[in-house]
Amino acid sequence: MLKEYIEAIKTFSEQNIPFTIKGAPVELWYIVWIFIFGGVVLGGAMLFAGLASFAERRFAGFFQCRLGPNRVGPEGFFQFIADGIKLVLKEDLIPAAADKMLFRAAPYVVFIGTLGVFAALPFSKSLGITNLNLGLLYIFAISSLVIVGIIMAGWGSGNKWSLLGGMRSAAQIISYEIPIGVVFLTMIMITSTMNMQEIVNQQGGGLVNWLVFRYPPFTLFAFLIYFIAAMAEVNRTPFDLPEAESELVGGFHTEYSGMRFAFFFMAEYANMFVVSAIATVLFLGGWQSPLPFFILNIFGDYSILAIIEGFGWFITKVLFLVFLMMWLRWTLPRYRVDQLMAVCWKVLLPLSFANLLLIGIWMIL
Amino acid sequence: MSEIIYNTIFYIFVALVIGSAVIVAFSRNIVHSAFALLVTFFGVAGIYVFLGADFLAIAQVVIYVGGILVLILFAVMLTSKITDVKLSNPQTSPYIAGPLVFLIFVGLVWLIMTTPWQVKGTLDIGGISAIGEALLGRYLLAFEVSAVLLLGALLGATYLARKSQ
Amino acid sequence: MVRYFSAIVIGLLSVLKGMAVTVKYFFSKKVTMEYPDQRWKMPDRFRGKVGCDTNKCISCLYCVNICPVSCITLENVKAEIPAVVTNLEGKEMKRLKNITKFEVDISRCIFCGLCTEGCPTGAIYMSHDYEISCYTRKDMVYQWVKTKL
Ligand code: SF4
Ligand code: SF4
Repeated sequence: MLKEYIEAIKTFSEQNIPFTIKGAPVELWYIVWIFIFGGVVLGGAMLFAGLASFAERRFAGFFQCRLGPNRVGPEGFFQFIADGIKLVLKEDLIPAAADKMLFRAAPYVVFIGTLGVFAALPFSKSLGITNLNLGLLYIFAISSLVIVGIIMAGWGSGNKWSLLGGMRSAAQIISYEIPIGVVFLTMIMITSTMNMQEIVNQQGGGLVNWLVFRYPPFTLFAFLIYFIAAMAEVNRTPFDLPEAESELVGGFHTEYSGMRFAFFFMAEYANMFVVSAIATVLFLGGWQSPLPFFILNIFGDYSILAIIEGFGWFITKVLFLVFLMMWLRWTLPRYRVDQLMAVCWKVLLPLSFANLLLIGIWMIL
Repeated sequence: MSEIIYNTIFYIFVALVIGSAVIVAFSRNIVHSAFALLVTFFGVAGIYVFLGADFLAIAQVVIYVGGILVLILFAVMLTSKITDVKLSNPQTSPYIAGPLVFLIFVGLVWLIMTTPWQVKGTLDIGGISAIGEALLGRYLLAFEVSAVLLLGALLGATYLARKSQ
Repeated sequence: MVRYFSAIVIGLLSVLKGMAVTVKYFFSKKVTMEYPDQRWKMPDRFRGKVGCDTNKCISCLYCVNICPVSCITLENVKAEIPAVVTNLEGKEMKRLKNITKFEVDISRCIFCGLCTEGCPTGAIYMSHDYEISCYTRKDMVYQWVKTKL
């Protein structure tokens, strides 16, 4: 029993890790490799979160006819480092009424839920931490940790506003997970795979092969539904009721300060990256170029250049979607709680089901 | 060497499951119990991965962590004395419950030890398409019956929750 | 059914309209004034902190008496040689006293401008300087003339 299992893991590791040291057992090396990748992803996510927080503040200024932070470094580029230093140096307060254990654990749970998703994202052609066969389902599963973390934070703070924010967030994320699930189902039906790399591979050969344009206009609708629901999933305005500052002070992170607050903050921005990346993979062709070929591919097929270019396309698309989220944030006012639920249950859910059905009929015809 | 590694990881998971399950059972604070359940569910998912049933593992996380655990947390937090953190599991009579539980435990262990388990190596169910075909082919009736059961539960809950006219 | 779908379409269209508005602002000229580096040009009759050109003052005590909150203090001694000062109309006036102390307590000033309006020589004036915050109360008292006796 164990023997066969060991063999299975061994072959898996041999296929999945780039190189090993001679003599070291491949499994041990695999574990080391996991830690290396984890460090890279953590660093990348933190860097992205920092840059995104800077960009968000700067763009918020632009959208409101202001300049935004532009003092630290060229055009304020190092603002996020200053913010980071400030947050690290800040005192880590734990309220007396807090449930200390839950209060301490909550940021990590949220962060694990966010970072776990990175493991299944295809960053470029054969560039990714793992290539899970059940990638999409895995992403759906691991991101549900975020809800638990937010409830944990809301409860652990021992504060009414935090609790309300946590509850709202949980209700909201659970509701909006259903349309997202249905959209995922639609895309799985079209591509007949849950492997993220495979989904991207199917969209090669130029703009027209992207899944948004596969069954017009239904996949476009699916994209819209996913994007709206994803904004609600990551608690962005206009769906930011869990942290509605005018009613709940700061929602579930009211009581957090210093490094723990920074964790929530980074998780929020990393989450934006994650949902944009999923949208990119499912609808916008992932790392595929909008042209029928890779520009850098002239220098040789499957070269490292193509991988780099694919990564570039992927990041460009993701950043565009992130920018779209910021744009919407500074355009729309916040929903009311009942409106929020009505949008999900009365509009997104029936439409996503109808969409699934119509695409299914089209596929049979 | 590799066996040591696998065994270590396996026992870490087992310890995680059992340890958190102990917290679930014995914690005086029901919210802590609910959150400890999170670790239990994850540990069980890890053990599923060890058995080569990755679909089951992920489904476990989707359903139990994403759905049931959050529901439990909701239920706990919406109970009337929400500000009272010390909602505890009343330990009324350990002298009756203790031996009873011990007997059940011994019985279960005996059952596990004497059952002739069929060891077939790693599970090879051929991915999700095989699962889908099995659900909509061979086990269609059971699948549909459980779907109707869930629908009934949903309608019942709506009926109970609506405002009486 | 028609209302349901038209509501969705209208909703999406209004979101797009809103986005068009915000993106217009995104590229428009920014209104931010980067304060310490750039400043507004104050209008001519702006009343900032009170300033004084003590060489022009003839020590007539008009401003001391008119100030509604009595925040100007002026002390003088008789001068041996009177100084000559030109007033606003160009006429020459004599300063018969030497000012030994001339100060204004800006923390009490109400910026009414009365002191400047009747000053015969235009010595006292409302400047355009609005940065009058300071760390101690003592700094709020501007001493234009202080002679150790
Ligand atoms: S502006 Fe008015 S309050 Fe201020 S010093 Fe002159 S007269 Fe007094
Ligand atoms: S009114 Fe003018 S001239 Fe007279 S005391 Fe005041 S500042 Fe001097």
